[in-house]
Amino acid sequence: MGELATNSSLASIYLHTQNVDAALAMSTYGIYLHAVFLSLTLGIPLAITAWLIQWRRTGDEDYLKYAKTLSVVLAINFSLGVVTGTLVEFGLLDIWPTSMVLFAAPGFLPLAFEATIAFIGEAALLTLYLATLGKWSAYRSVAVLMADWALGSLSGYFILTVNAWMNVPWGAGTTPHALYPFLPSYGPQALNETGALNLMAVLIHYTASGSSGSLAVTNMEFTSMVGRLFDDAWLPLLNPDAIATTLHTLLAAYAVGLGTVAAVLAFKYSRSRDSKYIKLLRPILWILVVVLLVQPTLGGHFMGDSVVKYQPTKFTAMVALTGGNGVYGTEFLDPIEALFAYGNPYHPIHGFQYYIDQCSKLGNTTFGELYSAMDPKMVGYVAPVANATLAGNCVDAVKSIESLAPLVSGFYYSMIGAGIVAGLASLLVLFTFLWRAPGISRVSDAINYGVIGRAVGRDKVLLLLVLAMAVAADVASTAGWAAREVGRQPWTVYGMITTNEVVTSVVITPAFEAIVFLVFTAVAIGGGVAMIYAARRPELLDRLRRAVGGGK
Amino acid sequence: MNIVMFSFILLGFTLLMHLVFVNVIIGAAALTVAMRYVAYRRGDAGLELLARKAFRILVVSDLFGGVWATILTVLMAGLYPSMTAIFMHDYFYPVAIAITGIMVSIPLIAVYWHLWGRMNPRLHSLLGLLLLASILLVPIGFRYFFAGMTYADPSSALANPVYPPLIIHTLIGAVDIGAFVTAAVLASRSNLDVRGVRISLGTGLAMLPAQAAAGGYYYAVLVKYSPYVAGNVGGPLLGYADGNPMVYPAFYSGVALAAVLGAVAAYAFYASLRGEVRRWAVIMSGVLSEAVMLLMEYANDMARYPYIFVQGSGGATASSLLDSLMPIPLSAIYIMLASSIFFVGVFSAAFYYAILRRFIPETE
Repeated sequence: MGELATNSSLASIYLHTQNVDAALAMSTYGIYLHAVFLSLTLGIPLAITAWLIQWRRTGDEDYLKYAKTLSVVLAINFSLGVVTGTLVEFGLLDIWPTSMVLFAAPGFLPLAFEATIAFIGEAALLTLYLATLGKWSAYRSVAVLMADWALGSLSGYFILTVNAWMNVPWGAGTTPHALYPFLPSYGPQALNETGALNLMAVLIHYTASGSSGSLAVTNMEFTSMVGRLFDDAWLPLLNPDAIATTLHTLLAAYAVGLGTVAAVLAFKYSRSRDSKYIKLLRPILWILVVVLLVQPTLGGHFMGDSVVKYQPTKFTAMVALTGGNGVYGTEFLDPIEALFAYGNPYHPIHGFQYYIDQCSKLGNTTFGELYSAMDPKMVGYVAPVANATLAGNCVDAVKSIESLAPLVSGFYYSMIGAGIVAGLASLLVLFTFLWRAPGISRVSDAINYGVIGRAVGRDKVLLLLVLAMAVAADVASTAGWAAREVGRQPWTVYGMITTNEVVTSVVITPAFEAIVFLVFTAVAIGGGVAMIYAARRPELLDRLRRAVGGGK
Repeated sequence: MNIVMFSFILLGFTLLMHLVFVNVIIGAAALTVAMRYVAYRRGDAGLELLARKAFRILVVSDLFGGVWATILTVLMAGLYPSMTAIFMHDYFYPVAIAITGIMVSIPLIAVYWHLWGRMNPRLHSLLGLLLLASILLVPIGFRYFFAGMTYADPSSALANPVYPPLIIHTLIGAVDIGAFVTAAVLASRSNLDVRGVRISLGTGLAMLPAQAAAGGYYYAVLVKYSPYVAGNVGGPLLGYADGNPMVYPAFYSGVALAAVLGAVAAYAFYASLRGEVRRWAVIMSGVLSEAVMLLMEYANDMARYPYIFVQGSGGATASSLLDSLMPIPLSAIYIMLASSIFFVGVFSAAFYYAILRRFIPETE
């Protein structure tokens, strides 16, 4: 995190400590691995369903055989998702203890529903599906698997709802705006202002006094000191950003999962020339193409709208690479981004100086004065920053994200570039290999066979396109998520709680960090090997069922 | 029932559901690894088959044990944020050890199953030891929480005197439950494995005195370091006239059921020595072992009420640590409970089909 502009007393709140850097590295790695496994868990059922339906329609046993094979891969992958999910969940509590506030307030219902409705249901139905596949009729198996998939997607919605609240604290009303005047209002005022002030005071107290804000939560009196923080438990579930994030992220996950299966089949076809693989690939490609065309357009549109409307500093950071030096000024023109953001290419986009100027609306009020007037019993807690002005705090927050803008923008445009590649590849697959449309298919054929075919060989065009779809989907998902999360800095909860206020007070040693990376890597490699092993053995499900049900 | 008590019981219920599965996981793992090694040393194919059967019970229990762990974690952090934060702060490394155990054990379960019969049995036995060690890391880490709640002395968080007897009591109990449940599952199948039932019951019976001794040791430590808990558990029969009437009857019932378990299991074991399987008695042994665990764990945890962290005759109360940051709608709690119960039913049906083979013919 870069230089601050004003108060050195606020450095402990905004400048990342070593513990924060170490914790961020571990969390990023863990969440990324978890996301990879989750994407496969959400995408693979769609491929299995397509094959089971084809099996029912054609009676072709190849479809059932490969549905069973992929079902074992799904089971292994689900287990890996559980393993990494457990680590991410405990990591959240162990490494970022202030997240307990989320668990106990706006995140309570989404997390509790995720565990008691979605996750438990997913586990139960996956067990039922594996126990009965090939024994029950195809449509009954499809029904169980689709219910399992729906619960997996619902699980995604609940978890993403919590993440969405960290990006757009729906129900915080005008409280963030009062501290950062460039921020909008976040829905109805369900956030209790006194509770929010109390929370901010105790977090500042522990953070600014040299330890960590998370130590505040270990105080036995913590909940009574803060008091009522949030009034409406249901509200976070209705967060508009949660809906946009869910649509965007789940579609990306389906694309990654389906893209992986499609790439493997295309690769196998290119090696063996066995038409069976094309037969298996075809129904998957249909779904993948639709997902890859809808995800960046419809999903991206709603997601972008949410960023522009609710996370202005993140939006400015995202377009830093195309906005030129104007990004660091008051406003600048970026016709393409403005067109998508506002529907008007000449609409100016705010630069970081605009946000800094907005901070001056807070005048010279200090934290001490704010608390004396509004929450006198907590004045003692804000003593370390009592003389710091609210305007200075606001400017420091802007300066913190300003220094990260090129990185955020790099991630953002990587996502856009990869999304364009995936979309174009999808169109070329659609009009040449899946559906013949008059005129359009001739153009598509000309590109595929006249341009790409000449470069790589006519018989490798499909393989190349499918690989492009799969790899681009992976890159877009990873880069997009990175832009979303890094762009949230310096806050963990946008406009409310900084990252330094959340991290553990226990010193994270390099040895501990190394062990965590080692364990994660071992699980990832072991899991990957297990999935490849299972994918090569069609008979594994029947063997597994015999082993569980009886017999060797 | 007030919200403080309701929340305490809700968390307790979730913990008990979790423990129903994890005790079987730990016990089945210990039995599997031990029997697999002995089978290899003696060249005993029958014992190896029994080890495989115990391992299957571990596999199917593991998934749902994990699911309930997730529910437990969410409710723990959501209902008692400061309690959870204290756990994460005071027991940072035990938590890390437990998580490592979870992370490593699940892939090892798959590897152990897959390599069974495909690698040198000596090496496979060694792999089993690693698997068992990884599974044991989980209670070894998390039981620190319970010791810390029973005897809250922050200055000795990692040297808590209540911890050693508690973990010994926990591990012996888990092996005991694993043995009785394995016997019960074997007895519920149509092709009875008399030898398997005999070995499992014999193991369970052999562990019962050790478990009773561990329980006595634990109670003696409670009397010394946490008299409040000891008094509530012991009640009038052990000289604590002001014991909690919501607690000591459960403890007495647990002791009585443990005696019944010993008698029923001994009867079933005697029958198995004569080549017979008394199906009702064997299955009842499995059910009773879980029932005893539930009653004892309830008594142990409920004895702290109204405190979460007990210090002397007082402590940090559940009401002071209960989440007051946001009102939790009762309707949401009902939805969670209804959904959990429904999906436990679905899982039980799938479990029944998978294990009792309505759909999978018995081939062994």
